[in-house]
Amino acid sequence: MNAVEVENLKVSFYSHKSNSFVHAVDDVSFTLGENEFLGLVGESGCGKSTIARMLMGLQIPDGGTIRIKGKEIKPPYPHNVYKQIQMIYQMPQDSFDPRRKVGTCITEIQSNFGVNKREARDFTMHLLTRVGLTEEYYNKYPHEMSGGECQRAAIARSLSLKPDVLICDEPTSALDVSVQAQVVELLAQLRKEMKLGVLFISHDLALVQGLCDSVMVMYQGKIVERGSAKEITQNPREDYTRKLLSSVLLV
Amino acid sequence: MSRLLDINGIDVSYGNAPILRGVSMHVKDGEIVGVVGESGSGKSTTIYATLGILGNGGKVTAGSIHYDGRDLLALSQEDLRKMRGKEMSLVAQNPVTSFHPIRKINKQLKELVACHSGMTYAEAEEHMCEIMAKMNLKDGKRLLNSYAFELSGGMCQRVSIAMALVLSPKLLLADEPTSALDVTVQKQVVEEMRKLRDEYGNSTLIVSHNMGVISYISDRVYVMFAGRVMEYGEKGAVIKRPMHPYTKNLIAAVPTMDAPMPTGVRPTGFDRTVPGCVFYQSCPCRQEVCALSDPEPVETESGHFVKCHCIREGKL
Repeated sequence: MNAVEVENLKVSFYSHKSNSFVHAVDDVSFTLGENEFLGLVGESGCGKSTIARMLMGLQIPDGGTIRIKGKEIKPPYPHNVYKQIQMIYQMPQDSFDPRRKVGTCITEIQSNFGVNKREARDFTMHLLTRVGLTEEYYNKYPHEMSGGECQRAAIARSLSLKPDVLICDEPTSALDVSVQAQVVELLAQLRKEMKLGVLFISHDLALVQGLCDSVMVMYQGKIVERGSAKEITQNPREDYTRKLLSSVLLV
Repeated sequence: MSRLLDINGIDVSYGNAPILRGVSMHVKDGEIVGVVGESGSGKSTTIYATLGILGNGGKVTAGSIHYDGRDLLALSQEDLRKMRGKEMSLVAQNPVTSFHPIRKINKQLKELVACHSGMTYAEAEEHMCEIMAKMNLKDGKRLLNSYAFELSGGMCQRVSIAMALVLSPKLLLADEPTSALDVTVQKQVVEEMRKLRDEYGNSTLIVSHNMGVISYISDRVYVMFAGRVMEYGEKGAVIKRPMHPYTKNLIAAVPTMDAPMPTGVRPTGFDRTVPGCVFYQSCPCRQEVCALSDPEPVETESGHFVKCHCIREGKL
């Protein structure tokens, strides 16, 4: 069974400037297998994040279906959908409540889903150590952590409900290269350990090709090409993919 | 070629917190110099110190900065103000917030012209449209008549580069000019900065954490870590044949097009106040002397300098 199946997903936004509708996501279909690491690349404004937002129920689609583990879900999502699908965001510091301790945030999510306080606390500690932080981080505020540490805490938070699917919306664009290498290494390990299906959104083709099993290229609201990481980088079929490849500045 | 900008061993601290220690770099006429390093390595601070806009209690406590033979640290704020924009100008990281949000761009250009003599607004407007046209922005007049938020990130960054160049400064200081842009626009902006240099012959000091950008645009590269320069030299030498263990580590972490992501990369923590080499904690080839004294730069090949004790002793 596929972890996520998306069929003919559509959404458009009204633009006052041109007095017309912009098709942000235009008839997109794809599947994300269980334990698959799928990359989604494209330039700013092509609709990558909008897809992520629709999968998370933060944006109501105009049409199309989303199935998670074979079961169709419709927004507003029932509470327990979030046990299956979780997301990490681009700016780790902004995705935490600035006035609350990181540990409290992670524990609270579990309490909301009926895990008792003690177990939730223990599991939070376990997760924090698993992502390479120490138990001291339980009592830290987001501003007391570096970007990389905070992104690890965000990964711990997203895994606190043991989801099947993890959406990563440009999780490393705000991080330094060495921190990026470490965060993606952690993601790759966790994916294997927890049998996660990961949708990895990025605009960095070099990063995606080195990390993902398969890659989708998105342009102007449509998915123009999907293939294995190798096919996409060595044998691109679409002109747009070639353009994207040529704009990667290599060292 | 003479040195247009010569930064000589500056120390900078914010209040009691030391940020830079003994940073030396120079930019020759018509040269593009790249500074690469991770967050907190002091790249931007170096630029702000040059422009005299450190703020937040920042002070240059040692060393000297010479621009075209003049000692910048000895100048008054008023003299510096006259130089900023005309002699040397800044391209900031986020183009949209570097413009005034509720004034049209042409009004800001008028202000720039009014602050510096030597050009009328009409001339400035014409010159700016010309520079913008070179960067593929054909509709210059309309762009000038817009607000910054009406332009896309890439357009806005090109407009801000044009504005920085409009009074023909000799030195352009670019602080992460492409990190707010996405890959396709990034390449365009970087290419155009190179083209403009060829056209106008201005020198550029560009700071970025993106190795790809630096290796594409620069003639020479400085690698900074924890407020110190670790290695510098010709682009080809530093990037293709890095000598310092820190540079090797940094370059290994950059994703490439034909290999899986590297594993086992560890970000490097640092303590700026140590007497010895700042990379000591994470260095694979550290020895006793590294903890005790900060290494002097060693020339490994012509123009390629590395600050490392191990290299000095031929152990690497």
